[in-house]
Amino acid sequence: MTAVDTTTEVVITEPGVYDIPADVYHADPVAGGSLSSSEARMMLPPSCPRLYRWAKDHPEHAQTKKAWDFGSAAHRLVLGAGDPIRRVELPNWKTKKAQEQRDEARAAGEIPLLAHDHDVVLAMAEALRSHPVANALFSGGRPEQTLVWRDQRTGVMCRALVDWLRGVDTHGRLIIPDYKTAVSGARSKWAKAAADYGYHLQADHYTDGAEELDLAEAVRFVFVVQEKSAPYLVSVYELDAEAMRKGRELNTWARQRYASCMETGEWPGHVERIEQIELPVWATREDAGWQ
Amino acid sequence: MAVNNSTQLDTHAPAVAMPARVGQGTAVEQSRAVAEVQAAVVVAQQVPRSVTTARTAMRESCDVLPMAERAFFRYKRGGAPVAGASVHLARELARCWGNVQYGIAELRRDDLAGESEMQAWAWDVQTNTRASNTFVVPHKRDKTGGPVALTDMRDIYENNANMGARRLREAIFSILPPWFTEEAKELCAARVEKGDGRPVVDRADDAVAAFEKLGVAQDRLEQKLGRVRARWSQYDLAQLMTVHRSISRGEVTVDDEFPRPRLSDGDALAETAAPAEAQAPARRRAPVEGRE
Repeated sequence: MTAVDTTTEVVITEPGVYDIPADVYHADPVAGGSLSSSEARMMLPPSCPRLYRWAKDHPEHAQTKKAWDFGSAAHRLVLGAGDPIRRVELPNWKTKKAQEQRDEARAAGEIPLLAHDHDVVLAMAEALRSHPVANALFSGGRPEQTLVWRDQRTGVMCRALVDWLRGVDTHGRLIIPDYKTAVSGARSKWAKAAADYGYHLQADHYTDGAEELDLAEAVRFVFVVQEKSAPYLVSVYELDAEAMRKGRELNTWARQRYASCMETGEWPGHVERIEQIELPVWATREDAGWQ
Repeated sequence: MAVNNSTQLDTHAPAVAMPARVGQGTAVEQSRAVAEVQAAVVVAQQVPRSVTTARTAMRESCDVLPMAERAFFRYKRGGAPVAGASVHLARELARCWGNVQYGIAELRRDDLAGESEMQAWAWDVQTNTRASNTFVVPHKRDKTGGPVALTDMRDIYENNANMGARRLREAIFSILPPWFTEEAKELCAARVEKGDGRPVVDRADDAVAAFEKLGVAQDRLEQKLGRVRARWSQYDLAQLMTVHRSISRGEVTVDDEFPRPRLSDGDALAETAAPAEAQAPARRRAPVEGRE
């Protein structure tokens, strides 16, 4: 009943698993507000609560980047969920015509993709499907499922958008795969990317959600990493216990911070008074210049 | 004519550095220290230890469960667990052996250089066997990804005390006869294995309950021991007790002792049931623009 859908909006009040469109998820359909993993990361340094609040209050400023379109398109083709792709038969976005087509596609809720990028994404999906483990991880389940739960310690409502929700195996174990595209899928590069982007927080956030909702006796979270250039190598990684522990620690901090900001209505910036800072260690080396 | 040794010494050896002014309290302490050392040595000669008595005392002590339980430590280094006799056992054995003095001294603390100079020593005053180790403790703690500098006074104190206790343990063990130490270790291990004498089944219940509080489920205990709960032995339970104490004391973490099994390709390829059902979200009427 599309007619009804246009005049009503989704609102989630109870913890559970929901099958809602990604844009509804990103707009936070949880009554009273909820914290997603990327929002939790925005509560912590090098971001700060005020930046989070501003981004939340000004969704129109959210940037749409080329890389983001590319990642979304890859998700779309691999997972079979999300917005449809519009193939633009042009070499680049420089011309006015190209830009018009791009804006038109976005306005229609589609992902604009240049022909050569589209070919790459198609090849990536094919490479992923021919990787036996990755293929198995994205089979026998449902794409893009939303988890909503209440964090026991802080009482904060949390939400997570699982790329692919599988069922439990015979040991009662649930493996949650998360699809990522990357320039390099090498161990060391990926480990650095995990630290830079806070993927350990994401892994813990999602694991926590599945555990809170009692989806399985044991929950494991793996990253299926695919390189963006041929031959589109696929690597599957799981973070070690130390990384997960750190992720949990930081998530707890973020949720506590969120809870207290919500309570007081105050969203502090980076620092609230004159603070003393020290130079990073590399800059204090004797042979270090000033740049 | 007798040669005056002291004069000769004075001309050859440099004078011992002395403080310019010695207060009354210090003077008293100085003479007391000299007298105490002399007395200890003299008394040790006059009342030498009876090895039989020392052995009996050691056996009695090692037969007490709380003592036996503290006799071993366990921590992780370079990814592998390290286990051995603890400083508690060392101190207790020194007491039983008798005529032994031991101690730890912080000789100098240098906050600028971020290190402390320390000494741990143990002295068998009867045989005059002395083990002493002077060492430098950097004000740092090893963490994953490299050492971290300690700046809190309390952290530095605890780090120094910890490092001192380890050297003291080695010092005491190095002056005690190896047979004495070995027998004590065997007795303590046997005592811990015997536990409080209750049936294995009851003790297994306790162990499972205790580990549950640490967030470790029974299957992880079974996996570590390689046996299902019904087949746990006294020895298994003794091992679990040591692990539990080490986790409680923060020497090791739960994940160090009970690593999660690594995911294999087979795990990913395994058959799975249907995923959890999705709930329908509630809907509410969206505010219609222009009506307010």
